[in-house]
Amino acid sequence: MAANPSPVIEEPTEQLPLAPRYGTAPIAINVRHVRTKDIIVRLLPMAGVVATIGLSVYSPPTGVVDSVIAIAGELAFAALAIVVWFPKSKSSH
Amino acid sequence: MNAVEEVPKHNPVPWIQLLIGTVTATVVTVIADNAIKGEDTRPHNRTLLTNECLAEQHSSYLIFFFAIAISGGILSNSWAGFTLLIAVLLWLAFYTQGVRSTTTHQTKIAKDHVCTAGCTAELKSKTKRAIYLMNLVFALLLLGFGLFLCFMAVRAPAQ
Repeated sequence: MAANPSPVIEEPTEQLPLAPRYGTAPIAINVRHVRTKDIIVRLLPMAGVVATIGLSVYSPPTGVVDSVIAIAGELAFAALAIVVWFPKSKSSH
Repeated sequence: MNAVEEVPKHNPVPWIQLLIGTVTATVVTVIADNAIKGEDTRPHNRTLLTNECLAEQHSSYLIFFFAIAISGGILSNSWAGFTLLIAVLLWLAFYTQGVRSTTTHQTKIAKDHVCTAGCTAELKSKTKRAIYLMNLVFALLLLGFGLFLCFMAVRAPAQ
């Protein structure tokens, strides 16, 4: 059997029109690529906040020391949750 | 035989933790939104974001006040119920005024210096205070009300 000749694909000679641009700025100027994995990792301290609340509801702290540890632990997780997202001083003025 | 049943002692810690948790969640969502949308490159972002966080964290108090009213047994005490009513009314005023203040940033910065895109000038302390002092005072007031209600609650969150 004779092999079929491969079909010839003709390249378009005409340039397709470019997507319209609005104004002088590139359309995607404000698009920031933040990976989903990064978002999940940076939200992990919030899981700590929720866990400390859950622990206190399940087993309420008794005594001053336990209460202070519970609140301080949650505040530490809360501070971490905010710090990992807060913009670095380099990008702000 | 135990004729007298022991009344469980009131513990405000779970309510305080719930209050911290709701406020933190709101603040984190505001900051994350700023980072994900790429708004962290705008001039004076840290000062503006601080004010936005202070303004938006008020919204968490409404959820907290409802939670403590329903589950904390606050309304069984008339004094605490009155305090809760005042707190909710204050929340309404603070939230609307606080969020409104985030729309007037440019006017306040314009009084400091001529700010253009990519501006790297440092804001004066007076301007920074003008931007977020009001929301800071509101936040501290609502925090005071929230903590007071935590101590007035007669039941734990999941009781």
